[in-house]
Amino acid sequence: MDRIRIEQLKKQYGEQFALDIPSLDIAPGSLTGIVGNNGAGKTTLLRLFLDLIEATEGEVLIDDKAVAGSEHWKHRTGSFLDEGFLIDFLTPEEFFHFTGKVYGMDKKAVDEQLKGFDRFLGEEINGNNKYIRNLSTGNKQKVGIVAAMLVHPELLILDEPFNFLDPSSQIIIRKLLKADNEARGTTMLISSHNLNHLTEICSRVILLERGKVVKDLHPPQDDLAEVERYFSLQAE
Amino acid sequence: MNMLMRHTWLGFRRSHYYEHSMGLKLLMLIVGFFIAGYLLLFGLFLPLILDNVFPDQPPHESFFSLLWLIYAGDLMLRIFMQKPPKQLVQAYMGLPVRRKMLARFILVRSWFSLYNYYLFLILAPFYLRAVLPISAAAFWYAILGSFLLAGINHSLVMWIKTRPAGQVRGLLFLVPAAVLAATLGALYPKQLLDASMQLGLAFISGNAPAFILPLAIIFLIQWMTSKGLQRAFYAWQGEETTGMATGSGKLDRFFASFPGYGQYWELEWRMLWRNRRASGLLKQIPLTIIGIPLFFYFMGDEDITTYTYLFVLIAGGHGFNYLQYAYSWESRFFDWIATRPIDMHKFIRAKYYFHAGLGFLQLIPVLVLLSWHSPKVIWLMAGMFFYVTGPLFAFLMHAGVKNSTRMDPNKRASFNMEGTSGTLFLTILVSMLSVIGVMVISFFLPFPSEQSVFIVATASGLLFIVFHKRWTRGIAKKFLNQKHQLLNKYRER
Repeated sequence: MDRIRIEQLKKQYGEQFALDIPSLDIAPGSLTGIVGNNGAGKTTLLRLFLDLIEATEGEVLIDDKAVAGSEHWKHRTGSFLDEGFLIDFLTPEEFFHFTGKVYGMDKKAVDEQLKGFDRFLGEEINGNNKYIRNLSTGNKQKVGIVAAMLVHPELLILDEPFNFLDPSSQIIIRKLLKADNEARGTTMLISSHNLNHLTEICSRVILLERGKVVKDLHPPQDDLAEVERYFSLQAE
Repeated sequence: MNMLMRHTWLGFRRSHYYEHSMGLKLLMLIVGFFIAGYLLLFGLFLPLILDNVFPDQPPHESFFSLLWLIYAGDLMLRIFMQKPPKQLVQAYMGLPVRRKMLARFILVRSWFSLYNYYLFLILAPFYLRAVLPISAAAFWYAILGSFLLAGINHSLVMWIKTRPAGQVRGLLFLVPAAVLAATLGALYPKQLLDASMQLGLAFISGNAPAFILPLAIIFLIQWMTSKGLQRAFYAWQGEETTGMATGSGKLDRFFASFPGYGQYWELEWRMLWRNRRASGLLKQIPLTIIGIPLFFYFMGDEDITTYTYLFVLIAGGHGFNYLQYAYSWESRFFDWIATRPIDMHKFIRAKYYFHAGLGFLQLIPVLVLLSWHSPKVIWLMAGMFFYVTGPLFAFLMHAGVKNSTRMDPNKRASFNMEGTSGTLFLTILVSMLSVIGVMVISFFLPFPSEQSVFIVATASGLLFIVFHKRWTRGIAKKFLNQKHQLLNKYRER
């Protein structure tokens, strides 16, 4: 995947701007974290990346082609934002196979891929023949993340991947993301409230506030502790 | 208790129904008034009907003879349809509200169910005409007695339905009880009718034991329900997470084995089979296959043009029912569809072939059964199949793209407002009326009416079937163009 670019991107709900980003470049192979308080525009930004909502102005470009109204990016992108990304009357296994098939993978290839997620999925998902709708929120989250990752996407977009996960699973997924990014050069966009996890794995952290980019940090040049200081100040 | 009742009222006031447009609310109100008016008129004219059928006895006596049948039917209806308001208390279980209070609330709230009052739309006007002339007291006694009988049914159903799911099986003793009652009824019909009449007469004569006995039964069942409810709370907490998948069946694998469309057919089949509401439509297929030929067997096939709408239902079968909701079923995973490399045109074609195929599979046994007794209908039915699979399916699928109400296919269907919208009502209305177009065009053809209808229906159907790739492409395009609006609407719910 080449360059991902945002140009004059605005999203307005009534009179209120949910997002206003004049320009932003995401480098290929980067692992970018997006942080911000509730209502900062993180999910709106990710939805615009996936063409799930219409921008009021501007566009998101992947390989210099607008995402809106096109399909070229879909077979190279894996994503999980919320339960709308799950087919809840399938079992996790069926869902993985179906997703794989849509991306042109056969059953064997999917099974091979799933081996790498064995520990993350755990017995509750692997050994249990439950429909996704009957899984706990944390397990649904795991299924969504794995389905997004197993198709070897060039661009991976995840919204709050650490939410609802137990501490061990949070650490495992953090490692899996880092490993995948380093081994295959997957471009990753991850929004989260968990600063510890993000600062641990991200090569870049974008801080959003009321729809605007207020900080764009690139460690090691920038000190990521600045993010924490920012939120501490906000809290006071 | 007051707080719980107030929340119930707010829940009702803020339900999906009130989120619909004014036009749809009015339409639903009109339909409601129509049904109520129909029942009231039926009650009003029932004395005359009974007078004609049983001229030897006064209408109220004839009616009381049938009380057992009416309330047995009412009980059956409740067993299948009436829901206890147990979902209303889930949110309070973690709060410091006594479980006894919650149990009492469920019991009190359940008495507000429409099932306890719908019969009075027939009974009140009937008693007004047939019992009031005896005396005003007799009228009120009749009302009270009928209410107590409804109360027994209500209490019984609440007792059954508030038990933990696993224990419902333990209630199978009701089956031999019903068999015994039916056998006794079959062996001693006269005595049964007589006993039923005596009960009714005891009511109107104000006989105290006739009221005390049902009242005691109601109290006993309500007390048992209250006790059971407090234990059932624990089971309800776990109900949601215990459901296991049925596994991949032969049919899943059969659908998946088709190259190209297999993966979509497998998904479509699973969506239908594994969701309560969707599978409810699927389960209508065998009923239709048996019911429709029976209908023509009893009603005759002379005046077949008046049954045209019925033809649409038979010929379109499952597809007609299902495609009204086309794409609303997918609303719960629409984000997934919108972000995956899916060929939308193929996805829509797969849906079309699937439901046309199911419609066809339903049609074949219907035609075979009809060939027995009503061969006149067969050609008309075949023509209608082409019409439904052609222009009607095309219309339903087009309209489905406009139907942007989010829907959970796994929710129960009866009286569930979710997913209903003005667009849906309009879609059904236009589908029904479109058959008139076929009739009008066929009127101008120089052939007998059945042949003309067959020609018009088949020709229009074949035209759409032959060019289905063109119109399905149009739907795919429309679908993608509407994507953002649909997603916005789905997220609102």
